[in-house]
Amino acid sequence: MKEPLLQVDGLKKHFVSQKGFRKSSKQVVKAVDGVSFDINPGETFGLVGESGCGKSTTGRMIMQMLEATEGTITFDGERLDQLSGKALKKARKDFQMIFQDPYASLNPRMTVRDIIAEPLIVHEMETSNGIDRRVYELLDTVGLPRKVAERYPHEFSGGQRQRIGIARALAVKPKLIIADEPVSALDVSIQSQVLNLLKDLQDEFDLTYLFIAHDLSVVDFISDRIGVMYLGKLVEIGDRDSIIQNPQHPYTKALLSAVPVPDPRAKRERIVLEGDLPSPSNPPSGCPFHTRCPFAWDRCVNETPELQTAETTGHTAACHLLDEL
Amino acid sequence: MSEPILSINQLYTSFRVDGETIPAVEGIDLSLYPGEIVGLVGESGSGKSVTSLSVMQLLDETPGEVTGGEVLFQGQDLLKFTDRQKRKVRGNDISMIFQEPMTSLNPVLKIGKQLVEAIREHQRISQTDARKHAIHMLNQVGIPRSEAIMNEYPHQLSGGMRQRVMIAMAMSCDPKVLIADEPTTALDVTIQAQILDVMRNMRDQHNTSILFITHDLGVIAEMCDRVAVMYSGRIVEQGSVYEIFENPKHPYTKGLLGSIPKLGAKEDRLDSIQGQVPTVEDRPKGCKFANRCPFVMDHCWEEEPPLFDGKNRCWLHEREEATE
Ligand SMILES: Nc1ncnc2c1ncn2[C@@H]1O[C@H](COP(=O)(O)OP(=O)(O)O)[C@@H](O)[C@H]1O
Ligand SMILES: Nc1ncnc2c1ncn2[C@@H]1O[C@H](COP(=O)(O)OP(=O)(O)O)[C@@H](O)[C@H]1O
Ligand SMILES: [Mg+2]
Ligand SMILES: [Mg+2]
Repeated sequence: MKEPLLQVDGLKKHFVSQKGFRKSSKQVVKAVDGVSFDINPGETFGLVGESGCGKSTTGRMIMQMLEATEGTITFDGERLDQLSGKALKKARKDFQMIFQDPYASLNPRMTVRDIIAEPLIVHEMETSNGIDRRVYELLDTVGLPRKVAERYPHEFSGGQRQRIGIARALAVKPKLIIADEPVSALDVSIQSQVLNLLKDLQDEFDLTYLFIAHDLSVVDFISDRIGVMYLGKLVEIGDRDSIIQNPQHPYTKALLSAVPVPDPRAKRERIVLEGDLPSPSNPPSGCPFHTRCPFAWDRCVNETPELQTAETTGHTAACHLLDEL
Repeated sequence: MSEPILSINQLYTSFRVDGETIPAVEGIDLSLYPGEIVGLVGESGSGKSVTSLSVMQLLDETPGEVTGGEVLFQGQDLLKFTDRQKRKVRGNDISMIFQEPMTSLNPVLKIGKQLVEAIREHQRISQTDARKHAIHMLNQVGIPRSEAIMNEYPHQLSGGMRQRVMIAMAMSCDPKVLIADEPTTALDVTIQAQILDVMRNMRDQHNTSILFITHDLGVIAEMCDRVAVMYSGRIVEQGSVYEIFENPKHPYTKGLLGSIPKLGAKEDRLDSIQGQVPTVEDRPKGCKFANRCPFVMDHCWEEEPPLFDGKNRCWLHEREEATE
């Protein structure tokens, strides 16, 4: 059995902010509230859920861009959350991030060459002669012509900028790439190019992906395994096909049934959810989904369900009615 | 067959930017029949919003101008209306909802006041009756606590709730035509599903005609009777929702359909479209899709294809017609 490349255990992020004028009244936003999952080498783990459920916060904690309130992050056998200084810098080389808005993440005053070369210099990976060669190699890899090296980010379309962001992430030959909504801002024809590219790169360089997105069809396409988040918690985890074909949690079922499919004859039994997402500063008692769940009963209001393995599918879901619905 | 309630004929709209004229919509023909939902789909910059703004004559605050064509509403050309006539039509006969409802709701007025004002602008009814009607409309679009929400401000509501308020407002005068420009694009799928339900009910119960603008082919398949596909300011293909999804003819339509990941399809790769949408200056002289088309022929670079059969702007289709 392979060791997982990434192990996240009991991860929490509670943002504390002041509420109103009285110093004493604090508001706590439970953005991520006890999330655990593993990612195996070479695998794509898709993290999906509606906006505000805590996907980006999870990604940023793993990237060490945000300190966790609680929980552990183990990467390649090392406790990332305990590293700092030089050791953290060294570890960082092995995990890189791709963002939704490549424009915001690319320095507008730097040329494409400098943007891609920066991580190589930070991690002292190439001699000055080697850098140019590597930049060209990376441009080839992501399908951009070499002549773009001297140009600036604003001269590019969204899809091209995303390719630049990918080239930069690949520069230091990372093992893990955390991609946070990398195709959400792109038009579908460009989105498909970038998704195909990400798959090709994974094969070529043995990459492991944590792929974060709100679009279930995209997550289904790219992932080997999927985790579904709701209000800071993972409510279901399993193999891609098992989750998509045999969802167990009522939230996953509702989410899947709400995805519009490009087939005018598709017969759908839509589970229409009542009401809005509750606020993570005032989450419901018991099961976080009980306020919108069509099957909620007393126990759901009082007791938070743990992730358990469903007998029928072998994947896990957090629902008191598991195997009974 | 009945007459179209709205018909856009040879519409041209362009923008003046730094002394240059940028064509945004170039010769669009599109009809909407009573009770019909027609989808206008295409990638960003293809001219969908400009088409809707031209129909609603909301280009005044932009450097854009309709330079040709007509927009017939029940046989009368909206483009020739006086300002007073336009105001009367807007909101009364034709309503519009936008992607971001915050921009079209007044942030400093309570929801109830805005609804009542909108209703009374077009209907001569008392304050009390207008208020009753407003609450009725909020219930219709599935807003819980409708009476309480009348006394709240837009920022106190979630995005989904605000969009529902917008729909309630758009529907409050029982318009014959609703133009919805990406009405659910900013919303999560579960909320989108609720809003789409509301819009479908509106059509079923009031026979409203809806021009539904979106870049999402899934939403189109689910909502529309007919579909027009836009590319570079033109409609490149149109047909029934079944024709478009089951037997697409134009290579761009095929490319779009191949690009989207389909839930549960277990595909290894997506059939994507090569390259990207050309800027206005870089548009090919002939067919605007020539530089990305996998079937491009010499002739395509030279001459722009007409809309064969009123359905499909592609030279391949002409050959097909000839050999049939
Ligand atoms: N810096 C912050 N301070 C306070 N709340 C935050 C902060 N960042 C995120 N949040 C809140 O945490 C929740 C989860 O946010 P996020 O992780 O961005 O969700 P997602 O990526 O799934 O849309 C949201 O309610 C968001 O408003
Ligand atoms: N306010 C504006 N000023 C200048 N050009 C504009 C403006 N709005 C739109 N355009 C032009 O019109 C084209 C079509 O835009 P639009 O209709 O908004 O596309 P979409 O299909 O994404 O709704 C754009 O590519 C742009 O060139
Ligand atoms: Mg996010
Ligand atoms: Mg638009």
